[in-house]
Amino acid sequence: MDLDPITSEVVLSRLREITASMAHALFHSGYSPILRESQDGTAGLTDGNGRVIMVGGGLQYHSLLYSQAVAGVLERYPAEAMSEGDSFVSNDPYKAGNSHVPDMVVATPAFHEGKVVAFGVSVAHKADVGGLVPGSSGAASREIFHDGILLPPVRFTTAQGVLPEVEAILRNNSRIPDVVLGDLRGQVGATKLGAIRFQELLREYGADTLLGTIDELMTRTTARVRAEIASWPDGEHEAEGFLDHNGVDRSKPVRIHVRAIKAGDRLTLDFSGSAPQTPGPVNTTRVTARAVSTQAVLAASDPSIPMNAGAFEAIEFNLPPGRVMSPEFPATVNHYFPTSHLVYNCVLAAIGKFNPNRAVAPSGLGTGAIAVGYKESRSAGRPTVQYEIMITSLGGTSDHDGAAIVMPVNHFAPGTPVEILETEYPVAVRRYDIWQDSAGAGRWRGGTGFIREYEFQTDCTLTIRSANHQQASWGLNGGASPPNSRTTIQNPDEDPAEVDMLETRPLKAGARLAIFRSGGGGYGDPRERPPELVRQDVEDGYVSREKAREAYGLAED
Amino acid sequence: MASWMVGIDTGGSFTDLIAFDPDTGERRIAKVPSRPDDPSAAVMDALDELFQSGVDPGGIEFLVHGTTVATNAILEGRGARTGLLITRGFRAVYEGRGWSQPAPEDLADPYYVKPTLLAPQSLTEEITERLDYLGNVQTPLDEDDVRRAVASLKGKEVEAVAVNFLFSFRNPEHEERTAAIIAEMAPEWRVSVSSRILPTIREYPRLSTTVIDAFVGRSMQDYLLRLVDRLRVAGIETPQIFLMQSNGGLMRMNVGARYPNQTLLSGPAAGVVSGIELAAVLGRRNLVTFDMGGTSTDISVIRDGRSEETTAGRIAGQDLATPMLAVHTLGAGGGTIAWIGKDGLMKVGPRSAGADPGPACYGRGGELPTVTDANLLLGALGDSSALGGRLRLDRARAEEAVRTGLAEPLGLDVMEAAAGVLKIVNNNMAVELRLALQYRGVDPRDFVLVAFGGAGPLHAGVLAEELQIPAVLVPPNPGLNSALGLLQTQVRHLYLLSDLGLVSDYDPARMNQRFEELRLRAVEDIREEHFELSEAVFRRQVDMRYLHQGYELSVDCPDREMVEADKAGLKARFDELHGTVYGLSAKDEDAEIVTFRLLAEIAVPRLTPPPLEPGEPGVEHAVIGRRPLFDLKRGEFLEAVVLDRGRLLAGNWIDGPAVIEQLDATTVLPESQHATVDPFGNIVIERGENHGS
Repeated sequence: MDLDPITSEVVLSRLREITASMAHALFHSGYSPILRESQDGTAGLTDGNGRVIMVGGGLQYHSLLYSQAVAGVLERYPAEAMSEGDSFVSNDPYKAGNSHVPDMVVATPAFHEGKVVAFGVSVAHKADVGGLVPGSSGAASREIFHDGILLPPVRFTTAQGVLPEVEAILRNNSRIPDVVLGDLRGQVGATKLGAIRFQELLREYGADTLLGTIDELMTRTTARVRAEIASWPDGEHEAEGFLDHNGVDRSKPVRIHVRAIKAGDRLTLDFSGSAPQTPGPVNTTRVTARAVSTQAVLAASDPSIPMNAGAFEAIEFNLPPGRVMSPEFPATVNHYFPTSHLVYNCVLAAIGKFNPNRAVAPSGLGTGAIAVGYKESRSAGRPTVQYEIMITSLGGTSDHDGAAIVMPVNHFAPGTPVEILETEYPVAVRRYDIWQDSAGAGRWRGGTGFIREYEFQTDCTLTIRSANHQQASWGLNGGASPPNSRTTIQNPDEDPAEVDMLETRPLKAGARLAIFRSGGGGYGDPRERPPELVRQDVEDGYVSREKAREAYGLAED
Repeated sequence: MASWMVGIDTGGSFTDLIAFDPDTGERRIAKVPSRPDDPSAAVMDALDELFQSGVDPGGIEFLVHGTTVATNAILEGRGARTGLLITRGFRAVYEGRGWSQPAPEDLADPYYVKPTLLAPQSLTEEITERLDYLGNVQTPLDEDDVRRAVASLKGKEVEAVAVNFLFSFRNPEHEERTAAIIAEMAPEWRVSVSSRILPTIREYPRLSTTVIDAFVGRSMQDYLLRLVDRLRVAGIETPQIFLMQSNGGLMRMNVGARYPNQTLLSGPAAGVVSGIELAAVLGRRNLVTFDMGGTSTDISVIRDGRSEETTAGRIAGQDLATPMLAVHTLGAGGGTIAWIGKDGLMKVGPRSAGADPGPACYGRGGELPTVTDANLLLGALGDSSALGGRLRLDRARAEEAVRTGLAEPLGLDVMEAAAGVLKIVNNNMAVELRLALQYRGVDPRDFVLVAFGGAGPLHAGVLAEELQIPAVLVPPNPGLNSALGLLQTQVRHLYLLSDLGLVSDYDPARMNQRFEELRLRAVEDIREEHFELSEAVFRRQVDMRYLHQGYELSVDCPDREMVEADKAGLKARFDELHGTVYGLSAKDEDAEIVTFRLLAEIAVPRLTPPPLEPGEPGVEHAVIGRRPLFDLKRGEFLEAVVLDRGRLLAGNWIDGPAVIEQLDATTVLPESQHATVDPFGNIVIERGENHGS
């Protein structure tokens, strides 16, 4: 189709309006703090075949998940069997594309002249869907059935409203059903809103113009990605990284390996050199792996390229079944994020070798979350869980230091203030400090990492779901690795002891938990960093005098 | 003796002045170039124009000023060398900046850069002290540590210092004692103390706001001293001199240096105020103000006669939690550049050619096509439309820019390309406006669009049609609305104090005590501003939330001592408000009181614009020409009448297509619309059938 460059821009902007409205509806009608505060969810649009048009919300890597969500729905319910008012729900990662069991997907069809032409889709994290532990993502999980209810793609609403049977099943399978169903209703509302708005846009522009424009926008996106690829020299580059262990046998690091093969305007990402799927929960689904890999290709070429289906279709994958990033049912994937993060970093590194002027050193490893269960909250006196996401810092780039204290992949994660934590939970935060010498040294160093230390004031149960306490991130072009992320626990009257990345243990009042999150990797030879910048780093406390001397070669003044 | 009211608003490009004599209804306006190097000089330039028109400086009774001095200090990074004192062990609070909420284009870009720390780590000193969540002392303040820190910062030539300790909003003693030690040791420093500036929970926004105060305070103080001096030398003797605040109210200029943060974003707030006033005069409850200037468009929604407040302000990446009127800004103005994206589609903005070099048609060296160039080519602007003809617009340059920048590469003819620029910029603004309305769950058909700014009335008619907003109001001086808003409000101070507790357990005596603490702070300011306490009207509110929510809503409290029985009503009002704002509420769940708020307002002279002389429907008397005007819907030029706004009378009826010109703006009326002039001189545009001809 020959695109009118003016009408198409207007349509594009209108689609952006629809997905922004959907995300807003999701975050404001949702019930739980996960949705409202952490905004751990997205809502957006696909075409009638599930090809992603646009995603609203911060987690852009959700986009490819939508395709699988719609494919999963279409497998059971052919489009001809769908009616206005239908919404479908699932949380089975192997069928619906969600990254792990607590994420639920909702898809709502949009119709034109009786035919399904698009879907409003949403992926959002739920506070609890049953399983071994509150929150559903247990370190002891060995298969996906341990993670909670596995709802296949099923109809959830019709024009008459919510199907009470399905709602009853969900209600029966959560420790906090009101919160989960409240959030799910928010997702349904957001996808219905998207479907309705899309139908209005269809009426305004006509099916030929709107659907033709969308197709063409995707085709152009593919062409942009291919043009980026074509601008690199042909060849192959590899990158690898390691997770500490497979979640069961702590002596076995898990290899993430990618070989990027580029010929003309074709790029293949081959993960066949990666470790087999693991018995513990550190696998990530193939859809999630493809999504974050595509995000990394764009990050290393042109991050303004939209994450629509056209971007995914420009890249080929070799993901043999049974690898840690392409596990087979019923492998558990509940601790998927650190693995996905490492996949992203590896692809970013491999593509950076093709396209050195966009190359960056990788972000620090050690993402994940902690959850602390208390018998009584400070304010309401009820059992409560303090849940905090863990983030790191970005790596150095070719022209500046990495950003400090940022969520990698999508730089989006609202943090919880110290004053709110202490007011709500029986905990005192003893330290929230920059971590000196935690960034990889370089001509441009990584962003500085941080230390957060908690003192628990009552007995509690601590779950750490993190990563990479033994395997650090790395530097680029002569830049240095940052140190490992670390976690220590100090019982009353004892010394601090290092703990594993995956751990659940009861703690006594007075125990302390310290989280050291690594900075980013360094970029370029640290000895080429201008001495005035090194001196400034020392004055700022990011770098110690010893490190300034040893790593940067700064002469003592 | 005349008694003039004067509003002077400093903007990015121009300093605007509007003066009224309420006794005679006389009005004067002036527009002079702003002087970023010496902003008070531009204020005096504008006043000189006023004096030259025969107004006596001694005849000025009331003067309000909107300044961008503090804003510019941030934008240009030219604030004080700022030190920061924090609780030992918490350097990551500022470094992390509440983690990360980047702009959409930075979300997936590994080259993302966080905003600069206005107080760098090298000028940050950790102090041994700690309060617990109730404000009890866990670790006493180590005064020697404070002395050591001050000595260290003195050695580093710091000019201002911010103090932000954890939980200082619960107990200011450590911060106050620290400030006292600083005052002894470094009396030359300006000290910003978080428990005075923003005593609310959440350490990062409080810290960032306190640091901004320290960073901009000195510039503000110097500026105000110079300005007050110049005003006095010019013969302005009235004590009624005020500054505009971002909360939409005024403060006496003598307390301006105390609250510099309140002036950040005060320009857009003044615009909102004039919108609210317009709504009140016309008896309209629901308005959207649409203020399109040279580089950006400000949008605000006025619902039921009131504007919303936000504490999520951001200027050049710096977070500011001082309560302010909620204004959405997008990069769409007259100088906004049209270009071709990597996807091959035409884009408009957010980059702007600004005032210098400005649009190509200004002939000042700008070569890129802008919205103004498109408006000129399509007849919305005439060659002499800008600044009352003081600036000639060059069609040939506009055409050249559109041809080479857009038309040729896209294979369009020049007029098609120019029309595309308008379609896209209009759509961008429509999307933003629709979202602003959708987010509030309101129906555009219940609203009136108020067109402000030099470029607002050019686009408002088409926009309203696109949005299904039934009417557009173009006030008499749309390009001077911020200056006008300065004269339409009152003194307003808002005092906050966080003290958390469940509503059900909250002791009413503790609530009364908190309100009393706030009242004492208000009394101090009121005295400082030389008002009588009896002049002040107080309003009491509490910010509440359900447990674990990350945001609060403000609920009105009775204007008297609280008693136990009042709490149920408070909770019920909160549930109801939550339902209205977010579509659901949790009546069975307990709610938490987070922050006490006391609003103190004092009425000052306030301008009511005089009515316009009435006339007949016909507008022949105002016709100054005809020119072809491109109709975006039809895709062709139509012959439009050109009218002089200054000759319009109340009751005049104008059929589209028409263009109405005045010094500060140009109004475009498409074929599908007509307009009337109301008794206050507002042009009211509505969709409709032809009438006059």
